[in-house]
Amino acid sequence: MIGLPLFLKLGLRNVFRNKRRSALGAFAVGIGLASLITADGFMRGMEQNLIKLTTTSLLGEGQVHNRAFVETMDSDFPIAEPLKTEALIKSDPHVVAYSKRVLSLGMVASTKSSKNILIYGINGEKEKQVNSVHRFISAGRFITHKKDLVLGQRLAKKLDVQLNDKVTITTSEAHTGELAQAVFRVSGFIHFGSKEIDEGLVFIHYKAAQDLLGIGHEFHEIVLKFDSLKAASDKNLTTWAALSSQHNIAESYRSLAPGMDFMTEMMGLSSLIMGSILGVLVALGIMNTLFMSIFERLFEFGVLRAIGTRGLDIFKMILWEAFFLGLLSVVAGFFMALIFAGYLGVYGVDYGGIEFNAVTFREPIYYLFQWSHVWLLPAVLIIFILITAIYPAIYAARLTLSDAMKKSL
Amino acid sequence: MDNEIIYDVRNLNKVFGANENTKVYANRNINLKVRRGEFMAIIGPSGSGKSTLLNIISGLDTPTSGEIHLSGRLMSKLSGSELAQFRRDHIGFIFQAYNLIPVLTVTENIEYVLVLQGKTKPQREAAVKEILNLVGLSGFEHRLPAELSGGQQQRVAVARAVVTKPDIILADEPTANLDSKTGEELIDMMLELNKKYKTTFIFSTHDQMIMRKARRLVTLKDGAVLSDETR
Repeated sequence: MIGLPLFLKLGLRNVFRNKRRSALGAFAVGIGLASLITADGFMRGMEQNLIKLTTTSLLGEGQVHNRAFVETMDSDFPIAEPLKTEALIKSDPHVVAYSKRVLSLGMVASTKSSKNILIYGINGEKEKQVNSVHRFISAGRFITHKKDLVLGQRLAKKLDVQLNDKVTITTSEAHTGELAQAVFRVSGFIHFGSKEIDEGLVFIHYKAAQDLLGIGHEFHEIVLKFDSLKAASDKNLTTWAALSSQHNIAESYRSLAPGMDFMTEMMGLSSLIMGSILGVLVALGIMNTLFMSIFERLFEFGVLRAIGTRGLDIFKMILWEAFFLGLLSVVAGFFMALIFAGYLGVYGVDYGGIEFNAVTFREPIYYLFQWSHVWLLPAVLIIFILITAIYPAIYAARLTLSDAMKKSL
Repeated sequence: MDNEIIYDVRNLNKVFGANENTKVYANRNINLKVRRGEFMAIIGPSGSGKSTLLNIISGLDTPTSGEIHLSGRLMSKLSGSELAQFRRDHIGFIFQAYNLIPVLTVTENIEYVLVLQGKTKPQREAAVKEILNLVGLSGFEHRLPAELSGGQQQRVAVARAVVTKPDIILADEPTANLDSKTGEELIDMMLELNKKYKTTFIFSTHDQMIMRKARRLVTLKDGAVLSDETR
């Protein structure tokens, strides 16, 4: 036998013996592979989109709070040892920007109406470095002056206020609990797409918030931006431990938005369910193709056995056939994935307006390429095909010689 | 002719069906001795048990009772894989429908069994070259079976059966699908191989031409040996 080992060569050539059947089998299995590649890439695209939306929203990539503030949302609990904390942040090699916030529950009132809100005292310039909220200003400007106030369009509608209108913020002073009020001028409207932001909070200058609450230079929240999302996602990053203390706690956006992990788990579960269903279909497809091929060649197997071929050799031959059928399926799958995933990679699917975990999808979701799509999924598919082929291979290897030579389609 | 007995069939019976009412006696109390170098034909009407006998003595099927000794070895004592190995090394097969492996070339079909025997590439090449010359198929080495005529395919089948120089070649209706001229050429070629290698040939056939050329005729009727005539 020239070149390739005997049963490898037989397996290869047998795959191309009935080209139409092999092509149909490979096409069917290829659809399964293409679906897996496309679905996995799309889910990863969705996950990436969600992470981007989450980390560019108010949440940022990480936050530092007083532990008691996290539990009570009470403005009596500003960040402990603020100077030391800020110095640690400045010296952390992974943190590239940060912004301090003053937070309090309160009420905003116009001449027409009032509403309970969350007050965000921010530094407009610093805030721009840690998130993209400023990009969603739909009218006016972001926080620049001490008397500026920015609120959501939907809240503005409820309060019936226009740009430059005056509104009153009422809250209770930290530590004393005394009522405190201040008048602000509406400097901008925001349209973020999230009900929580568009209806439930107002932005004012952090110094105005500190004055209102009577907390001097204290603040309640520090938002962090890291040199990479990978670093921000790493729950074991040294930054978290360094900034956490008996009083303070520093957390990644993954901990602050547990829905992200849930979403990732759900995507993994969806992939597993989809992979399992496709796996069953692939198994049936492969078994059908191999059994059809075996039943067509029963007499031939009888002849092969008659002239001295062992059952083990027949077994090997069928497995080689399955292997080459798998390779053919991978090629077909790549070709189809190129079309499906290519389309989703270029045009995406628009989920604009759909809200998840307080963030709203604003951009189309695209297929996201992963190297595992070109090696892991095909490798798993071929291994799965080989496992599936064991049953037909055993059947062919165990054929009774005299029966095999009597039967033929 | 050598006097060595290579086949010794003793009291062979083959019954199909377990129920007394549906039992069919395909072979009844057959006793047969075949010596090295014989060129014999098993003849008889359809249903007389020729193919069953051929299947049993080749190890493709098992007898209901009786013993078959091939080259001194009791075939019923051999396991499945031993039997496969035994067939590979001692028996050559020629089938009515040629039954070459359609995806292998002429050369590959002939050297298939040599590969199973673990022969080296130079050994295989030499053996294939020699046998292709003998069967008159030099120049056809790289053709696939589908690219050959029926007669040529049967020559390849003969070459495949002979190339390992087995003790015995069993041929089931080898000329049934060939025209008379091609069939006669094939049988003449087998006679030459029989002379050259002292290979024993056993045919199961209806073909008058084979019956004329065979040196021994065993006639079966209703599964039993009706006559055994050596010329």
